Amino acid sequence: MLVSIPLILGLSPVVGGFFGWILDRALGTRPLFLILLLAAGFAAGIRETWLLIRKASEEERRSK
Amino acid sequence: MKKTVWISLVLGGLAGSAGLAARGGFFAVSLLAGVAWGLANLWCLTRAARCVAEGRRGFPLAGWVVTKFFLLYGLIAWFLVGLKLSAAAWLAGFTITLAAAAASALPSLRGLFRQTSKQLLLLGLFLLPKAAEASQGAPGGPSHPPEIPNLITLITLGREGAWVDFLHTWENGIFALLIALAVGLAISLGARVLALVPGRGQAAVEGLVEWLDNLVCGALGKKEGRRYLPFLGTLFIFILSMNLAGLIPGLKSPTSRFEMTGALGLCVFLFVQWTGLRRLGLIGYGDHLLGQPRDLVGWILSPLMLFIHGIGEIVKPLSLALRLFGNIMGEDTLLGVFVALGAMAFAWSRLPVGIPLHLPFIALALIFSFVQALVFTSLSMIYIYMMLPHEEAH
Repeated sequence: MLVSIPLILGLSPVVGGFFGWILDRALGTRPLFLILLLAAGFAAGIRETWLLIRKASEEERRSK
Repeated sequence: MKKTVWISLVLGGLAGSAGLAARGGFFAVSLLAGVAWGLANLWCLTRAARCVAEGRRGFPLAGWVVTKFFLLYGLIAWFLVGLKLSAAAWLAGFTITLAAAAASALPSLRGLFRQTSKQLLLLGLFLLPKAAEASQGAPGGPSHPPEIPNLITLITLGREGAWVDFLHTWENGIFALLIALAVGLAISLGARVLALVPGRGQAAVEGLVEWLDNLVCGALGKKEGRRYLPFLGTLFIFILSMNLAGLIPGLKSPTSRFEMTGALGLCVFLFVQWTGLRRLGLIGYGDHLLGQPRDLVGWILSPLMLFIHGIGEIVKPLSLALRLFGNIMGEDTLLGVFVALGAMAFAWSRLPVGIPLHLPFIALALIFSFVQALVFTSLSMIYIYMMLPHEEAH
């Protein structure tokens, strides 16, 4: 379960940046959304990791 | 923490004195400043983490986070711009602290590192032939990683025409369909006549379903587990059989291509969103995506939370798809390379003999197929669990 942490942490900013880039290209507002969504991507990665760790520790506690 | 401080102080002192001898006092001061900054950073972080762990969410936590972000990052700017310290030496000092922290956290991180390095190794094994190919300037045509030839490549060997192109384009889909049909047939035959005393086929199917039932219900609870068992169980059985198909001569693993795993990831994505919509309702689902705003700060932050949640929802299935694809492709490529090596071992003798060099990797592939199917299923399960209505983490 915790195996997916590196992948999620790494992928989130990439996905965020990608969508930001697309939005910028559509709206011509470079680099506003790129930066905004990149930051949101980092935050999303950290949040997902936090939730995963919480779920894992919960399950560990329950199995004890 | 204590261990980290000692390790980084000793290493930083050594590196600082080395820097003093080689580059002068300026370099050494920058390096020590980097170490000190890293330690202060780590300290703030551990205090913040302790606040979270002890449930003190309010003022103390906010204080540590604000200190970390504003004071410490302000310090960088002041040191580097105001005092004009060497950025490279600063970075070296900071890296020392980081390495020390990682080293003292190593026992708990070891499993993680091992897994990650294994994946990197497999990826490297795949990239190596690619790199060699690229450096030789291979002539056109879509390049694929070396694989054991399957039925379709054997049939179409040396032939041309529209049907050959069709077969190659839909190769993965065709095999996936075949496997799905075979598995469906096997399971429905096993469960056709349900006897009180099960025969061999029925016992096998029952064992599998019971095991999946335990797995899903153990994580989601009995009531919710039963509701999502059909989807998750189907995912597991389908992925496992597709992974294992690569070991059967003439078949290939459709999961070794991103088209297939991407489609599976899309299924999980849609299923999870649909679950959210159905279980939370339209308003509840929107509320979940906006980060459950309950006060003014929550409403101000909600557009940002929408982005964060949206990205999170996309990344989770995408990471599933990428991991499955990477692992199975690496495994198949490994087998393909070693089969080719073993087949060429006695090529000089012009005798039809070879060495089954790939035998140990078959065991590896068996384990990997199972583990990856399990990981995909259990992570999908967790994504569904996170979508279900219950106390949300914030």
